[in-house]
Amino acid sequence: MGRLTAHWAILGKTPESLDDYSVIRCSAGAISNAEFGMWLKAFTSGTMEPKALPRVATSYFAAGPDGEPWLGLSLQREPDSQDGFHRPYAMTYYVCVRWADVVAGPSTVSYRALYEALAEEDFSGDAPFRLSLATYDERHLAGQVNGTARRAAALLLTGRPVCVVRAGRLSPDRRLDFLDAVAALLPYGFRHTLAVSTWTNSASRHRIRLSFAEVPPTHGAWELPWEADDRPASFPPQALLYEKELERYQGDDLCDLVGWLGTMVEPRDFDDVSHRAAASRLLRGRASDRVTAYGGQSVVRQPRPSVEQLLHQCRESIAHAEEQRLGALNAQLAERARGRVTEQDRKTYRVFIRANPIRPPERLSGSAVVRDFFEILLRLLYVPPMHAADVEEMLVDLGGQRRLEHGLSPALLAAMSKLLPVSAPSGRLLIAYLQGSEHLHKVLAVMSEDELCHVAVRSRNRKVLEIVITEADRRALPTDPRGMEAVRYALARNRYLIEAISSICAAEESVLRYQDVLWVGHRRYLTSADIKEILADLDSPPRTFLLAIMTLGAPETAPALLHTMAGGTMRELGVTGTPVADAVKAGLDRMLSRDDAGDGRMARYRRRAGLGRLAPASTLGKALAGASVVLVAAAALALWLWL
Amino acid sequence: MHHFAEGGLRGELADLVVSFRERLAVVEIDAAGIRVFEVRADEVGTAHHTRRASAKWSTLTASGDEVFDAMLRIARDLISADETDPVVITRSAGGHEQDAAVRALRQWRPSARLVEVSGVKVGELLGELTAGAPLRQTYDLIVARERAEDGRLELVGRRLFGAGAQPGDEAHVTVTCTDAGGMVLAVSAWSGPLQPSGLVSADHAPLPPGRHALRAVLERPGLVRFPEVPGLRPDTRPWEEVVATLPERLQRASRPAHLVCAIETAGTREEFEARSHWAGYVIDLLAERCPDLQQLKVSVVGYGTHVYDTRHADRSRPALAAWSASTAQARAALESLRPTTPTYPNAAQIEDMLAEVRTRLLRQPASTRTALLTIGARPPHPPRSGLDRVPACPARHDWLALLREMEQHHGLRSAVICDSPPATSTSPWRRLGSTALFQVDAVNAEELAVRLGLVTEPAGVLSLPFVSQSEDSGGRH
Amino acid sequence: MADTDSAPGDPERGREPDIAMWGASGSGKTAFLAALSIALNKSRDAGWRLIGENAVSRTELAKLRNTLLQARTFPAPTEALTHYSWMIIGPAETRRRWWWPWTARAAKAPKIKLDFLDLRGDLYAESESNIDKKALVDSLVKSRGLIYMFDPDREARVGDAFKHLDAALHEVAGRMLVGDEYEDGKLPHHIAVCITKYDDPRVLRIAMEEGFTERDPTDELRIPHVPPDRVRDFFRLLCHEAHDHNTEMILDLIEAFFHKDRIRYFVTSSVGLFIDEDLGRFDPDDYLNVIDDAGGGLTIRGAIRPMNVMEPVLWLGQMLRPGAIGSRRWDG
Repeated sequence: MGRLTAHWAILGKTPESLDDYSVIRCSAGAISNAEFGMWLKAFTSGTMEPKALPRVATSYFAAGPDGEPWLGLSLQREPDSQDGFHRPYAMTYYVCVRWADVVAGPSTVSYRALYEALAEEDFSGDAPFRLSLATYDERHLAGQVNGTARRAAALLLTGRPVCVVRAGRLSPDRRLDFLDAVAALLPYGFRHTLAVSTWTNSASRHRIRLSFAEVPPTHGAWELPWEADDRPASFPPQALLYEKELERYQGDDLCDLVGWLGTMVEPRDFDDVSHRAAASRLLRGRASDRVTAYGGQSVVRQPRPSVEQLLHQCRESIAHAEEQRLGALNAQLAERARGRVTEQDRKTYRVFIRANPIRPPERLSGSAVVRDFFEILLRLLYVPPMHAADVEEMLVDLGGQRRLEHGLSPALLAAMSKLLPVSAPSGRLLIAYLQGSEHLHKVLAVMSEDELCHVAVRSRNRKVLEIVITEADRRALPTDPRGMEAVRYALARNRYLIEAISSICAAEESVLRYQDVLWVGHRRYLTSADIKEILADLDSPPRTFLLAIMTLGAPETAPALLHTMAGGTMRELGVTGTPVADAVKAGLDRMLSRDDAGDGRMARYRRRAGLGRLAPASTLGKALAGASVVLVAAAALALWLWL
Repeated sequence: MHHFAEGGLRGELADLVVSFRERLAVVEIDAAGIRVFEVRADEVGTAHHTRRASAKWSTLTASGDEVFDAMLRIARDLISADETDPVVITRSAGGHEQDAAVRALRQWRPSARLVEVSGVKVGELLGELTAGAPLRQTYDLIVARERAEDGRLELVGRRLFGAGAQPGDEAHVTVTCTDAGGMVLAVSAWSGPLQPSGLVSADHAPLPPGRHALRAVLERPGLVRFPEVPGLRPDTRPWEEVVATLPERLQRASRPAHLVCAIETAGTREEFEARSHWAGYVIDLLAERCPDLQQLKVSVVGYGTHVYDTRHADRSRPALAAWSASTAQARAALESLRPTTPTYPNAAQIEDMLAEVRTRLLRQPASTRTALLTIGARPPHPPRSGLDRVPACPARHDWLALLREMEQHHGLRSAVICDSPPATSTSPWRRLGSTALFQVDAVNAEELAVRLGLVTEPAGVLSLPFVSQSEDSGGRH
Repeated sequence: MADTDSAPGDPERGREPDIAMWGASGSGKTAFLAALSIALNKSRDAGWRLIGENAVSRTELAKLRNTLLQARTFPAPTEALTHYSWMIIGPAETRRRWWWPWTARAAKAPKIKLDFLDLRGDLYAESESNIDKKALVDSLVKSRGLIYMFDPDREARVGDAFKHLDAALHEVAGRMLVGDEYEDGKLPHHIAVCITKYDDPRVLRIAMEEGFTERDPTDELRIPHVPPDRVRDFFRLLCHEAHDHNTEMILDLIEAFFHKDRIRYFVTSSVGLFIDEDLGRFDPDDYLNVIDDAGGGLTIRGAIRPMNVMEPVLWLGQMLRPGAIGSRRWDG
C-alpha cells in the first residue's frame, strides 16, 4: 500500500446553472483552476451518453514552467439534477499525480488502484489528497489479459489509436480492467502518454488513444472487435509479431512478464517512433533471455544486455547474495559507466533504480563487491561532481522517499560520501544527517536561525524540514529569551515555513507541522497579541495553518482570531471600508457580544478571586472560561468555513 | 366693489363653505358695528360657523382708538393672514366707520372680497349653508368581517356616503346582526382613502339577529340617520371600549357541516402517507369535537397528475372515494386511496378536483357550512399555459373561477396543507389556502379546524354589524 | 478501418465541414441537427432523406433521432467538438425531353452533402491556444455555410450571444480578411441566422403580441408563423428584449461582416408547437410542446413538427451547390 499526493478537480455544473462546463472545485497549489479546466476539456471522451456512464478515463499533461509530467484519472457520473436548461449533465471527478511520484514509489500504480483511491475521496476542501494506493497487482492484471488485450497492446505500438467495439455489454468495471491490462502489456513508461477511456463518442474529436466505443472514428483509428479472432486485413507485421510474442506467456510467466514490464518506468512516448520500435523489440530480447536462463536451447544469443537488464541482474544477485555473479556484472556495468552515458540515459537508469530499490541483505553489509557496485552505480547515475540539487534526488533514487534512514546500506553511504558535494546547505544538511548526529550538529552549529528556515523553505524536502524544526526546537529554549526571539523572528520572516509544509504535507500532517512551528516560536498557547502578530504578516494563510492556530489558541483569544481572520479576508478581497466591512464588523460584534457577557461574568469572577489572591481558581470558573472559549471558537470556525 | 342681493351672497358663500380648506372668515359690517364669523371644519369634516367677535362702533372707539386701528387689531387677532383662507366682508351701510373698517380689513387682507348687501343676517345664512353643504369626507359604516387568512374578526368600513354627498342622500347597506342584544351602528369619516379621521356617530340599534337591509339618510354633514331602525339611541361609550368588547372570532350557530378532503395521490409512499395522515387526523378531530355527528358530513377525493405524453388529451377525473359520508365511511375511503406515480412534476389535477366538487356541491342544501381541505404538493394547472411552462388543464378548467364560485354560492372555506412552502407569493396555494395554509410537517390541526369553521369555540358577543367574506366587496381597515 | 495514419493528438480528420454551426451553450444546436432528419421526413416535398455518410455519422444520426422520437427528450449538452458527415438526398425528378415530351424519364436525385461541426457552446469564449478552439476557427475559415443559432430564451436569461459572436467573428475575419482574397472586406460565407425555440412561450408570446405572426391560409393546423420578410425585424425586437445591452448590436455585427444577400433569417423550432389531436389545430391556450418531466428534465409532449429546420439547411445547400438542386422549388 503506497501513499501519493494527488491534486484534484471537479468539472461539471452546479444544479440549475446556465453556465457551461467548468471546474467548480479543485485543490489548491500545483495546478490552477484554469489549467485543470484546460486539460480536462482537452481530454474529453466526447459527449455524454447514458450508457457511457459511469465513465473512467485517463489523461496526461505537463504543467509548470519545467513541464513536469502528470498522470490523471477521471470518473464521470451523472448527477440527479439538471442544468438551467433542464438538460442532464455529467460531473467529472479528477485526480492527478506527478509522474515522478508514481514511478518513485515502492510500487507502480495501476489505473484500477488510482480509480479505487479516487472513489474513496470526498472532493471537499482544497487540500491535495493523500491517496492510499493498492500495490501493482501483476496477478490481477495478468488475469484480465485476453486476446483482445494482446492485440490492442500490439496495435498501440503502431502509433495509432485503438477503438474496441462490440463490447457495449461489458460493465464499466470490466472495461477499466481491460484498459489496465492492455497498458500492463506494454512497458509501464508508456502510461506517460496513454489516454484511455471506458467509452468514447467517435463523432467527437478526442485525444483518447485506447477506448471502447460503439463505432470507431472515421479516420485513423484501429477498429478492434471485442474477442473476435479474425485479424484486420491490414494488420501490420510488427504488431503481429508483438502479439505473437505476448501469446507465449501464460499463467505465472504472464505474471512475471507483467511485473517486469511494470518496472520499465522510464517515460515513453507513443508518438515517438523510436520508443515504439524499441518496445516492439523488447519481448524478443526477453524471451531469449528467459530461455537461456532456464537452460533451454536457444539459437538466438543476445549480443549485449542493456544497462537496465544488467541492473536488474545486479539487483537479483545482491538480493540472493551472489557476490561472485555481482562481481562479474560489476565489470560489465563499469564498462558501460566508462562509456558514453547521455543525460537521458542517466535519467532512465535513475528511474529504474527508483522503481527497483536495491537493498543489500545484512550479510553483505561489509562486502567490498557491493561497495564497488554502488560506486559504479553512482557514477552511472550521476555526473561527478554532482550538483547540489542531485543530492536530494539521489536520496530519493536510492533510498526511497520515506525510508531514508533504513534504505541506505553502509556500503552505499561509503560510496556516496566520495561523491557528495558540500556546497548547497540542504545537501550539506542531508549528508551530515546521513553521516550521523555528530556531523549534523557540526553543520547546524554554523547556521543562523534565518538560514535554517530558509533552507527548509528552499529545499521543500521532508527530511530537511524535519531537521530544521528539530533544530529550531532545540534552540528556542524558554530559558533563553534571545534564542526564542531569534527563532520566532526567523520563522516569521520565512512565513512559518508555509511554502515548505504546504507542498510536502497533506492536510492532517500540515496542521501538525504548523503546530510544531508555532509551538517552537512561542512555547505557550497563543495570546491575542500573538495571533494578531502572526496573521498580520501573512496574506491568505492556508486553512491548515488557521486550524493549527486554533489548536494552540489561549483562552479568550477567539474574538481576536475571528477579527483578525475577518480583517485579513476583507483586505484580501479588497472590501475594506465598504458597507460589507461595516456589516461584517457589526456582525462580529453581535456574534461576540453574547460571549462578552460570559466573559464579563468571568471577569467579575476573576476580580473576586483576585481579592483573595491565594485562593485557587474554582472549578466553576474554569468551566465557565472553557465554555466561553468553546463558544467563541465555534463561532470562529463557522465564520471561517463560511468565508 | 360688488353689489349683491342675498342670492348672490348665498351663492358665493355656499361655494366658499364647500371649498375652504382651513377656515373661512366673514366680516359683517352694518350701521351699528361689526361681527366677525369664522367657518371651520371639525375632525370628521363637518363645517361649523362661530361668531368670533361682535362690537358696536362705540365699543371699538371707547379706548380712544380710531376705528381703523381698532379694526386692524381685531383683524390681526381673529383673521388668518394665510392667503388660502378666504375672507368675505359684507357691508349693509355706508359711512365713515364702515369705510375705515373696510380699509383696515383690506390692509390686513387685500384679497378680501367686499360684498354690498342689504337685509342679510350673515350668522343665520352661514348656519343654513353649513347644514346644507355636501360632505367633505367619506362616511363609512363600521362592520366586522372575518379575515381571509385566519377567520379572525377585523373591523372594516362599508361605504355609506362618499365625499360630496348632499344632505338628503340615501345609502343602503346589508349587514348581519349576530347578537340578540342588537348592534352598534357606528359611522366613521375618512379624509382620504387610507386616513380615518374620526367617529361621526355611534348609535345602538335594538335589532333582532339576522340579516338587515339598512337605509341610511344623510341628514346633514355630521348627522346620519337610520330611519327604519326604531329605538335608536346614542351609544355613549368611548369607542375603544366598544372595540375592546369584540370577540376574536364569531360564534357560529350549529349548522350542518361538510368537509371535503382532497388528497393528492401522486408521489412517494411516504409523501402520500404524510398527506393521508393529516386528512385522517382532521376527520378524527372533527368526529371528536362535533356535538352532533348527524350534522357532519365528510367527502374524500383523491387526485393525481395529468398524463401528457399520450396522443390524446388526458381527460381522467379525480377519484371520488366518498361523498357526503359519515366520518367512519370517510376514514375507510381514505384508506382505500393509493399513492400514484407522478406523471407530470409541476402541477396536479386540482382544477379537475374543484370542478368535480363544484358539480357535487350543487345538490347540497344551502345552509351547510362547507369547507375544502386540499392536501398535496403540486399546484393546479392553469386554464391556459403561460410563461411558467405549465401546460393548460386538458379540460380547460379554471381553478380560480371554480373556487370563487364555490366561495360565493356555498360560503366555501378553502384551506391547504402543502408538502413544501409555496415558492412565490403569487402561488395558487396562497389563494387556495386563503383560510389556512400549513406545511405538511407543521400542521396545527386544531387551528385548521377552527379556521375552516367546522369547530366552534366559545366566543364573546359581537356588538357590531357583521358582513361575511363572500358578500363583502372590499372595505377599508 | 481507415487507411490514413493519424495520431489522436491531431484533430484534423479529413475534410472540413461545409456547414458549421454557431451558437451558445443550450441554444439548441444539437437538437436542431436531431430535428433535421425528422423535418425532412415530414416535409411536404416528400422523399427528402438524411443519411449518414459513414458509420460514425450514421450511428450519431440514429442516436439523435432516437433521442427526439423515442426518448422524447433533448440531446445532452455537447462536450467535445463533434463532426457529422451527412447527406441529404431528394426525390428523383422526372424530366421530359424537350424534343420528345411524351415520355418522362427519371433524372438524378439531388444530393446535398452536409458536414456539420457541433461544439460545446463555450468554445468560442476560450483562448486561441486551446486546441479545439483552433480546430474550430480553422473549420469556420474553411466552411462556406454557417448556421447561427440565436436563443432568445438564453438571451433573456444570460445574454452572452454578442460576446461569443463578436469574439468568433473577429477571429475568423482576422484570419480571412487580412489577405487580398476577399477584396470587398466581407466574409464569403452564407449565413442562416436561426432564431431558435419558437415554441417557447416567451418567444411565441412576443411574436403574437407584437403582431409578427400570420396564419398561413393553407395550413390546416393554423399555426401562427412569422412571414419571411418580417423575421429580421422580429430578430431585432428579440435582441432588444435581451438581458445584455450589447445583444442589440448582433444584427449590425452580422450585417457588417457578411454580404447582405448572403444572410437569411429563420424562425425555427426543433420540436414545433403542440397540437391537440382532438382539436386538430393550434390552440393559443395550449401549445407547449416541451414540458417538465417527472425526473426534472424536459420531455417532448406531442408530435414533433420541426419548424424551419430543413429550410435553412436546404437554402445553404442551394447556395453552396447551386447545381445540386437546380431550380427545384424546395422551400415549400
